[in-house]
Amino acid sequence: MESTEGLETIPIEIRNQGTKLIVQYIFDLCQSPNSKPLYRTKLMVVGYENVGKTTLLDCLFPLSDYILVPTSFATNHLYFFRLEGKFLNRYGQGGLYKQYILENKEWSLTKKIRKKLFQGKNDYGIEIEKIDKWKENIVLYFENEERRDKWFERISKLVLNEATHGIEVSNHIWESSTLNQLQYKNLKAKRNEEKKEKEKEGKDDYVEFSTWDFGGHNDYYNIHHYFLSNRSIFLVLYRVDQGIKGLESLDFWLKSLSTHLNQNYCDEKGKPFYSIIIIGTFLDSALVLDSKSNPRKRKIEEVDNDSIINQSEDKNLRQSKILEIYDKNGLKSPPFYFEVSCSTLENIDELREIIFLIFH
Amino acid sequence: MGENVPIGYLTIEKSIYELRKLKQNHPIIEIQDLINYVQSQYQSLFDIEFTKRALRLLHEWGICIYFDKPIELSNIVVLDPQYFTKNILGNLFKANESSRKMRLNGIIDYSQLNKIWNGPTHLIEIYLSLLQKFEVCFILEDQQKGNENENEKKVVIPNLLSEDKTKIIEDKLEKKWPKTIPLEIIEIERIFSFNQVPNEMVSRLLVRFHDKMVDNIIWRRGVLLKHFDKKNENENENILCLLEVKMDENLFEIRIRGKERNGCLEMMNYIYEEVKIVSGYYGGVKWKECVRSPHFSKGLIDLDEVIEDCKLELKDRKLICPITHFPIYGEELLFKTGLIDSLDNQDSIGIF
Repeated sequence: MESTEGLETIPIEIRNQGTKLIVQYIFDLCQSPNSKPLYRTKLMVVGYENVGKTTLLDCLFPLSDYILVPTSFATNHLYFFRLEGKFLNRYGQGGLYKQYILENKEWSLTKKIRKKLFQGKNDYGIEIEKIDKWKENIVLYFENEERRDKWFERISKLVLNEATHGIEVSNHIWESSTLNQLQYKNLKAKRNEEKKEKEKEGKDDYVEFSTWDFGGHNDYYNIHHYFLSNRSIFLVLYRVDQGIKGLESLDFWLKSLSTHLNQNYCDEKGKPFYSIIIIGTFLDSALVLDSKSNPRKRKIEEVDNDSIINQSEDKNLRQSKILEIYDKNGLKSPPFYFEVSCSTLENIDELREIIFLIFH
Repeated sequence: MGENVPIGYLTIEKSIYELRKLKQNHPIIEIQDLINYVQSQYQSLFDIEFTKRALRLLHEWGICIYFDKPIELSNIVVLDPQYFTKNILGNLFKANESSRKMRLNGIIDYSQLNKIWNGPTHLIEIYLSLLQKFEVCFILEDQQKGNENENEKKVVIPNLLSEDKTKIIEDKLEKKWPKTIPLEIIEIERIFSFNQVPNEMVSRLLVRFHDKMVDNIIWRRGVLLKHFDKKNENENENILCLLEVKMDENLFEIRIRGKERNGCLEMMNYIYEEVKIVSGYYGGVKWKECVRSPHFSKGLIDLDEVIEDCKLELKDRKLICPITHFPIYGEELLFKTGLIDSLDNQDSIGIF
């Protein structure tokens, strides 16, 4: 089939399978007149170990809930909590009330179930305790077991701070409220322009993601290839603070993607069904900051060839090197490029917006 | 872009989520069981082809794991992808010292498997057969002793085998595949030249070939195989194939020895088809059949070009060595590949 124009509401996985499967799919659709549109994609995160893949996902998909906190005098209050990256933020009426940093192996976590304490509601609790002499603790009760388990799982990963085992698969939903107001406005404008207001307002304001966090240890490279699929957004990570070594690590992953992705699977405009976002992490690291604030230091270190890019404040330099590696591997459609910090959350919102826009 | 999805597909998806909770300890089922569940819970009867189409799409979306190829896998649905990626595959390749020691050089004692997958024996058997179907590993029986004892069984992960032939493998190979071609034996050769050879592709191929392996002669980059005569359904050690992978040159070198050309060609055809299947899993991998230039062994010539050139009058022929640029007599190469049985006879070009 030369063109799939007019078949945009058929999933691209089907569109690239040829006429027979498309016809079969349309037949399946006809048999169920109440079919509904879905907005789904796979988000796959790859990169060497310790580049911050899991942390980045935690930043992109924060957990937030109204959570019951027992206070002294046996009273309980509902507070809004948000777990974003390594930060657990508690909000009060005046905004951010308190921030805890959970990543540094300074906390321990236990599951607490205290049935009947709150008349059947918010029975499912956890306790996070600081491992120091002051024994500060946070006790949280959730609306149901499912939410509790979700928070428990996420916080355990943070406090244990262990490398990902195998491949971590999770499902997340982003609604447009995930984006900040300005981004949301931009998104709306783009959508209205493209869709000519065919869709009812608000109908497609969400995306369902299946995130695949590929354990970065080389033992796990044996299993990655089974799960790299064409219709995905790939986040390929490297560490900005590792200089040329970090940049060159991208070659391995981009080569791997070029091996597994079929470059002929494209839409009617010739755009491949995959999107690649290359992300430099640890933007806040001392090395990068040093060179930003101290150009003289950079000059000195340029003497050492290996550290030219390492010490460069010039994002463009890194970007052009990345494009060179990307092109060498024969991947279609230029990648997006971001540099982020999961500690300060710098550029995380912008990255989120791009992911949202790529999908829409 | 919102995409329209048949309600039936979503009913299957919903059932997968429900079954995941019911089968937390072992979230792997056969398609028919899924169909039965959907029918009992939602009074919807879907045929197997409809269900497979739905599962293919749900797999792409990461809801379950389902592969329609190879055929052995097409009947199985992994309800929870994470169970497979962490508990089964992840534990096998666990990144810690004790696990690495256990799978040293790609060989694991069968008796050690309960340390990898902490579960009852029947589950370990299921995991193994699943991984074999996924072409990750295979079970090596002790061929010498013909021993039934499970403790003698070993699990081989080709991707972790030693890169070079061990001394034992070299000695065994020398006996079965002497450096000089024995009398009355012919040898045909082809080169499969790739744009890139992923490690895992070689490993998968070795798993597929394992039941034709001779005397356990296998290493990470090669294997010695015997012919399986499909017509008579028996193994034939008179025809042997040595497949060696040259990773730095991105090529497979395939040499087949036997007493008669047709048997060798049949074996070559089998290898070709298997490589075609496995390379098909890798969207970015392209390859072609070649022969080595008689003037310079690093010079590879596309087999199709040779065949085309041989169709021309001698005066019109253009085939040259890509390195030395010396002219090449195409029939000489076709003879080497087994496509003609003598340098005089051009009418008997074997057809694939």
